[in-house]
Amino acid sequence: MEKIRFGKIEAVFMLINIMSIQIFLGFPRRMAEVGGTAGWMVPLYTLLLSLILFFIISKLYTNFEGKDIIDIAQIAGGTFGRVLVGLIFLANYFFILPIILRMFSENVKIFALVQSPISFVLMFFIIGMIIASYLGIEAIVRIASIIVPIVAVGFIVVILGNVKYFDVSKLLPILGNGPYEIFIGAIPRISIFSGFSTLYFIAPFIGKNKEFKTIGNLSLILSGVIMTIGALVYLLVVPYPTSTENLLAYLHLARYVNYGRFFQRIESVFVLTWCLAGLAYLSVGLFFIVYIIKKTFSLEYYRPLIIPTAVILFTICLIPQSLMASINLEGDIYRKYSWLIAFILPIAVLLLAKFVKRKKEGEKRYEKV
Amino acid sequence: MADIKKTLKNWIAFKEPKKMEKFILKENKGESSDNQNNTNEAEKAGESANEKERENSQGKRDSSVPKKRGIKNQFAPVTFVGGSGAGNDKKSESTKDEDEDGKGTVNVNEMSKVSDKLSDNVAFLKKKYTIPENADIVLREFDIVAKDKSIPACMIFIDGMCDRNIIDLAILQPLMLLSNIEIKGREDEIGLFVRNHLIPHNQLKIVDELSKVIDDVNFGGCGIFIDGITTAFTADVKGWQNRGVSRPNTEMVIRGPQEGFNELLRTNTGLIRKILKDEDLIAENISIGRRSKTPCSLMYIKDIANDSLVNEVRRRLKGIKIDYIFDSGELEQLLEDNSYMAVPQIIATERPDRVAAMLTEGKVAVVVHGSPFVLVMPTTNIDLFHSSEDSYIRFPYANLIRIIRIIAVAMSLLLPGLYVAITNYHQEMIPTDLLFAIEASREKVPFPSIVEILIMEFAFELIREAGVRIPGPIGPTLGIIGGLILGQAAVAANIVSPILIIIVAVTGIGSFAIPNFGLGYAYRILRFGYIFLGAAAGFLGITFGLFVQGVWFTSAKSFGVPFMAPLGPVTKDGFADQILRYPIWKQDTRPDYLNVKDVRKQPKISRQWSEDDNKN
Repeated sequence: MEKIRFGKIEAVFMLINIMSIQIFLGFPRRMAEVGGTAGWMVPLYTLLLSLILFFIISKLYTNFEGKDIIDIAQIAGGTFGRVLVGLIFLANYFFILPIILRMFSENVKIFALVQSPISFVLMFFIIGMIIASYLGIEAIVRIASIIVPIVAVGFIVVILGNVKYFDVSKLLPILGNGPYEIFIGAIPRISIFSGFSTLYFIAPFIGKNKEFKTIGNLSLILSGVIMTIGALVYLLVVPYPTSTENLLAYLHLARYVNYGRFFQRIESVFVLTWCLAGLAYLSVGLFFIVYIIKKTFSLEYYRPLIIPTAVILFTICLIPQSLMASINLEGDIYRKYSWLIAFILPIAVLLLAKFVKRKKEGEKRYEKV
Repeated sequence: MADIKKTLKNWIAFKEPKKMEKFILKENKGESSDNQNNTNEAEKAGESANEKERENSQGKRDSSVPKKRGIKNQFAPVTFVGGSGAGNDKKSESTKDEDEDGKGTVNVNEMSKVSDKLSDNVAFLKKKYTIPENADIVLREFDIVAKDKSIPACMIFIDGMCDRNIIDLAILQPLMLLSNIEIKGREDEIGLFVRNHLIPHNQLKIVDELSKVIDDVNFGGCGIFIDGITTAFTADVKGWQNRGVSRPNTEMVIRGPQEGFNELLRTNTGLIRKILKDEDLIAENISIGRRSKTPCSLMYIKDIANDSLVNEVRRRLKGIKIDYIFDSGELEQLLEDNSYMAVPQIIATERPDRVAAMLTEGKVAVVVHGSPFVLVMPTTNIDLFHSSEDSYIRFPYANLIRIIRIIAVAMSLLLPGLYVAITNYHQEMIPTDLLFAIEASREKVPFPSIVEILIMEFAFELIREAGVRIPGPIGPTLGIIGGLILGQAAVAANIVSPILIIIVAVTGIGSFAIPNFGLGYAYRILRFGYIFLGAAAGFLGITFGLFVQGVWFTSAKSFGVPFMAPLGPVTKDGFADQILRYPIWKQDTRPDYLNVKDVRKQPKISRQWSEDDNKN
């Protein structure tokens, strides 16, 4: 592949897009389920936990500047290690990406194209993903850095439009379902940041370690703040337990925006902006799936893999019976266990690689002597 | 059969994917040591290219000599020159000694260097220029008296391209009349004597290759041959009729200079030099086109422009192998990175002040003889939205105009598509009163809204295209009348709804607000794509279109510069004059994405008087 480089701001925007996209899908409802009226505390708390975990990871990463996780797995366990780690990440992405794709399409179908079959709506997303992946990660990252500010403006407009419905009493009781549920039970919910694992794959494109740390910390903090605000606004507007029933929360919030006879029912515009963000996310996802396949199996080209992978995603995407089934899959399975893949697996691989490297250096020194 | 197999094989078998990255604009670190090497290589490349061209033209001469003669000419007398005198019926008006010199004449087909015999040179010229059939070539023979010797000489030029006064006064008169005057000089050699004392012309070249004489004569020079020396002289005596420097036709501004380029290369480079009186502004000569030999000038400022960019432009210009090139539009299509891209990747402008401004930013300009449009490269998407007036008017007005322009562009691209999407899929967005109005107007129309829009857009494009070709005062009038009457009649006939007329009119006006001609065309094409996407899937289709267009543009490059810089790859200090403009005293640095040598345009405090005020 040609030499790819991108800067800090682009990488940060891309990661924010990947992690924060869930706000427009099922995230606020899940937070209401997990923490009750204190659901907004969960992203804040998990942000702190993930910052600690990332601190450990970045410390371990100092020895492996400019290498992605597959290369490090190669150092740790040879070909077997590389293939194993690659397959685990592939399974991870192959699980979440069709679910998100399905949720976006159902999103659009419910609010805009009611009579179209789901496959028709999916085609637009898939074709957009294919074209973007074909043109390469640089193009996707650059368009993400243009799209994210636009979507952020849309997000702020929705929040500001709902200010008149804010009611702090909806946040009471302040600790919601109880401190145990929030602080202990929500630990697996670090998985809301599981999109962060793409950072390990863009390490070679970033280069320096210092930038790697900055990007990681900045993207985590910003996404955490955005998600906290997202959950907070939702809980301020919609009272518990109704908040656990809205499957696509922010579209309802967009519908509530009502300023006089002219500025009302504008959720279609927001569907437009959120679909842009969704397309950016999905293109990144498809690109990284294809890229991981290429790196895991040491292939020379990745472009021929794009269309077959897209077809597989399309097929997997249609397996859940309905929107509720896919939300269930995401909320109950993925967002409970993917933190193991996003944070624990890299730590294990890095430790193992460090150990193996030290052993090899020790042997070399021994040989020299 | 083999073709079918080959085609099938091409479709089915795996092909290595094409390299996407074509040219990388080098960064500035460590470029100073490469400077000298690059310029040396460029000079050598230039010389070797010149040699190759000479060989090419010789090759052309050789290949064109054994021409196939049609059946009519098979029986016509053949005029052989200087050799076998068979069939030599026609006599040329000036020469008489060619028949006398029957013995020992060299074959003119093989001549490449100037011969010391005048008769050979004359024979070559007659053969080469097909004199006397070629009636506007003038071959004048005369005698020079120099140092008590009378030496035969001849002169050749093309009537209509030369200034006859200069020829008479600066070349013929001194050689024929004034050579009798006692001249104090010691040169024994006639050639040197003639050059140093007898031809008082400001641009005189001594050449020994016949091809060089031909090239110069073809472009408005005159060639002088003197018997007894193996060199010839060429003098630049251009004097043809041309359009003067007038207002630019396409880029009108209210505040700012009103001069535009014309078709002459030297006039155009002169106009740019008049603005940038900088000795570091280099204007390199490059000739493009095997037969047309169109002279072009590659202009850049030596200590600002990135060397690898200049080398890349030069490399592309020299690598063009084509017979004729007539206009800078053709050159643009031969130079650009991606011909299938909807938007232009090179700016073509008629204004010298705009070219000068872009040269000071570190860009490279190519001036083509015969075209009033000068090409400037590289360009980014945002450069295509700028006009020169933005710098000349005050900061608040310039920003207002830019905002209006962006809105106009967005409307010209998206408005019809959005209308179709909203009326078909998102009716809840329309406020109730407006919904009633639209519904009332659309009630009688028998077509679905997409057909309506396509009819109206097509009619508008027809009117626009027809208006360009109608001469005189009828042209613009037809546009207005056509628009008004056709639109009104269509509404009265219930073919389209009135709201649609407004939409199409606003779209058209928005497209005229785009400063760059090529971008206007691009958005005319893309607009149809958005109409179909909006009709297919509403806002999702529009979003899909925006995303694909965005990714397409961000993956494009123009001479190594990413097309969406500084929005795409976010570059440092990139926003001083991009979307909105800072006040002029705040625009301190040049754009970073060009990797220029000298980033600072002006010091931090460029209004020194404000500092002095504070001190006082």
